[in-house]
Amino acid sequence: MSKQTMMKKREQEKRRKFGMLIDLDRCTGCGSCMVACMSENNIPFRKDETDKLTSINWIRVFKLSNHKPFPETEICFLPMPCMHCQGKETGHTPCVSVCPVTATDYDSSTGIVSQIYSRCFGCRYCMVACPYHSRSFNWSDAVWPEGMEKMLNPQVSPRMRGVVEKCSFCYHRYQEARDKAHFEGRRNIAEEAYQTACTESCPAGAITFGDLNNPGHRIHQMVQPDLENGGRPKQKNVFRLLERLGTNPAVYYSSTRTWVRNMGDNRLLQENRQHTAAGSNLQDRRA
Amino acid sequence: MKLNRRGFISLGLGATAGLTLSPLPYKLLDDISIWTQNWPWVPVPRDGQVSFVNSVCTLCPGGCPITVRKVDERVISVSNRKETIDSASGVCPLGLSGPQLLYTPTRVMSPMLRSVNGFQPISWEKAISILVSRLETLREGGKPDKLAALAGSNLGTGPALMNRFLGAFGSSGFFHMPSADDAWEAVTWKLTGRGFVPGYDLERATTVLSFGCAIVEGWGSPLRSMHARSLWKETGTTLVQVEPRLSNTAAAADRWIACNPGAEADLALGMCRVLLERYPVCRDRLGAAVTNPDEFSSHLYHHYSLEQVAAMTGLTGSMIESLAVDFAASKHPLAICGKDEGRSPIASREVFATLMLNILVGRINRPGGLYCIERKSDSRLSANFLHAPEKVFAAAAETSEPSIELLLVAGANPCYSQSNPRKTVEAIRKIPFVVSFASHWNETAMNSNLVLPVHSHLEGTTDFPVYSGLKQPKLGLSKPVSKRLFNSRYMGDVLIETASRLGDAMAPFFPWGSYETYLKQSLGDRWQELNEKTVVDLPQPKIRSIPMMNTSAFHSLPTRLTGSRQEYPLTLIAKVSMRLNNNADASSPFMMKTVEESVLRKNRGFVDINPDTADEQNLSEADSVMLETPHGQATVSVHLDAGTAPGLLVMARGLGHGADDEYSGGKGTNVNELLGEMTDPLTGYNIAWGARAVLKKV
Repeated sequence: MSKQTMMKKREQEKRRKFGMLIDLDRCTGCGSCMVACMSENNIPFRKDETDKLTSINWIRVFKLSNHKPFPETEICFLPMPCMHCQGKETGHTPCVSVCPVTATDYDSSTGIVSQIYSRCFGCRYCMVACPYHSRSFNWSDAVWPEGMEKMLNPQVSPRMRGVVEKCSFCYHRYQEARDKAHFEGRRNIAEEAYQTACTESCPAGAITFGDLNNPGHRIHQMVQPDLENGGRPKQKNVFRLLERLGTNPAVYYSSTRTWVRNMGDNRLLQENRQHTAAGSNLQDRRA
Repeated sequence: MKLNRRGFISLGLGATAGLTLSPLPYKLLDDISIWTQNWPWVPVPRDGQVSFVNSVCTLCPGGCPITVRKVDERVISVSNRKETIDSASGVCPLGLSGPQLLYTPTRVMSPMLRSVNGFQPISWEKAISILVSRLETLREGGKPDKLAALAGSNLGTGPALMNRFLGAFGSSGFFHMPSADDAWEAVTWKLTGRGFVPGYDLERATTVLSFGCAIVEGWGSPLRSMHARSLWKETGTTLVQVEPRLSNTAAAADRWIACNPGAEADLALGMCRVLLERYPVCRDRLGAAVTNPDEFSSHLYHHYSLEQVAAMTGLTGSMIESLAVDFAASKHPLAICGKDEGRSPIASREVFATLMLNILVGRINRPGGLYCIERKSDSRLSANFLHAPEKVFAAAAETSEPSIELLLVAGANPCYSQSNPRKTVEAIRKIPFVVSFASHWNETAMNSNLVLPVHSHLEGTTDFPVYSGLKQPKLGLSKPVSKRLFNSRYMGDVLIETASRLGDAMAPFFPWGSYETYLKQSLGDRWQELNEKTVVDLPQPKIRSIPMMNTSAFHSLPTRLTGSRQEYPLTLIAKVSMRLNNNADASSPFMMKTVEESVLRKNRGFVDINPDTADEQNLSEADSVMLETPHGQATVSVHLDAGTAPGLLVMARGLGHGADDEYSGGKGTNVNELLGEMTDPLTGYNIAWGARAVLKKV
């Protein structure tokens, strides 16, 4: 390993990179993550939320199918928050690089892509650039029925019409944990001190959240990110969505089912066959 | 200086370049976005002192321990309590919606009296006076038995107090919404002379054979079931799901057996026959458990050959055989039953078949098996099945002279959750005076004469016994997390005050100053412990074995669907989801937001249909159809779903609420209106699992 690579690695280790691993074999599609997120982040609701193109969700659970006929059909649920992409080079996140007013930014000290509502003027360029459709636009003012504004979380500001919003990995919880650590004279933030609302609420225990750069955190062990290779997972059965775009997302998925993993990179049928063969060879070698 | 054309252009270019390079345009864009967001109608939540309160969620029979986060007096969110055993992690969508259900404007805010101009708010003084006057009229007319009460369950101090009130008044008309445990109790009582409810040792089982139980969709105590399923992933426990459609549980199972709808008991009895034929030890276990083993075996040999069971279930004989052999070969096999969430009464045949299967593999009261928990309810099966609410309401609707003149309803919403809700509404309207104790407006409250607001689940103290398939039943205590927002009271306080106003005949039976005093006295020594922990174990006698059973009564219990195959070629069944509230009240706005667009679009609900069946019917995705069953009809859209068996239609439960709520009311169809009623021949409970159906394109 060259000196430069070692320096780069050491530099990277100093930084935190919060990430998420979602075990798709455990996810049951119950929707708790969505409701917990709405409750935590003051996500508005309307009388009719059946048009999913205009419905605001920071995490959305998709239903995948292997498209085989009955009774060989299989389904799988895939929760999708913002991927908090790092990009090929730090900060070259698809949405960040197109925002004309830096209303969204990549924080190198946490690996979290922020969204600053008071800067956003609603051009929606970021929504076009995001390959994961993780961003939502406020087409109208949020209206809380009389009395229900009492349940709003003071740690998260409600948004108004004309701005884009998205998952923040519950950044306010990070701030709270960081402040607490500072107050107690510590620099490190314990793994359990900062967990997102969706992680805490998942009854199936399908979501693991933590610092990908911290070998002591469970997510690091479960993913084994390859820091020299854009954070690609070394762990068997772990994958990221649209890996080949090189967006370097911080959200990882795991599944023992090949068809689910193949679907993660939106491959064509022919590509799937090649990938499955290549993947099984690779896994054999690792074993 | 003269400004010529060249100078003018140069100046313009220079100004443009300067402006572009200056921060001014960016600053202006930034300011514009800030100015356009400073509107008074965007709420700014007030900050304050953060605190956490431990309590128990009483929104479903699961009784999960929760922690509620507050900022000053405001309730902000609900989270799990990791220190407790049965809810190791997470909270279900309904539990997470607690703050919304607390603050929703659909709460009943004060006593409401129905008049010709609709409901009018009245004072508590007037409301209780009206109730007392109605009761006095009944008593003076010598008709105390014309008072009836319907509770959500028969567990806990609330229903006990109501039962006591009726007893003191001279009425035996207390009944409750039946549960799966009630069916278990009734069936085991018929079999053994003692009533048992099931305690499934899910955590230690090595193979779980589930007959349609929606384990990851809210079955039993929902979080405990989901946690058990996650545990199985680690321990290698095999989950075999028997179900006619690819539900979320079937998708999460290790093996999915796509059996014909309604044939679960047939499959279980077919497996019993395989076990008896193959394994002498199973024959010994049968001999030790039942008084008539030969009769039972003969019944199986005559009616449950592999060919017969294959025809009934749609499976192959070899599949049934391998299922039975694999099940018996497992170290700790466990068979469980209770379709969907396992809360509504189960067909007695299904309970019997599941019990027999567990007996034959020797898993009664054994680790990883089925524990029989004795429960001594006051309610035994009555003649004419008048313990079942459906039968009570049907009797009330049919007679010319009302059999009930005053009905009290608490914790139940029969006008939505019973089969044939329209008939229930008709029956309720025939009752001269209906009093509904409700925290939220629901269909039954809308059809009552007097609506009395009770505290919501985060406002009051109440005990909450939890059976729900737990091996060790629990007792929970919900705490007043929030101060009371509206003019609500405990139902118990209303009953105590009413009794005291009714004079000497009633008052001595209610010597407590308030419901909380009564609760404290009832809980006795456990009060202190419950206050600290909020969940404790319910003391249970250890049952080594269940008494010898006589199975004769269960040998012919057919429960077939009504309607002809020619007229109704398809079969409609219901599906459950944790994203919709299937209990008495409607789903929260957050939950409605999570509902998939293949379940609800605008106000139109969907039915799932197999793509091949849709082809035969000349239907495409999202086509509008009229869905008809012998019990009702509804306009719905179709969703092509490869996981649905050919010939099957599947509709979501929890939609079609009629109450005046803009977020959940009038959306989709209440599937109970289409499923109708199917009476269990032994218990009398409604066990409708499906209905014959036909689709007509509109």
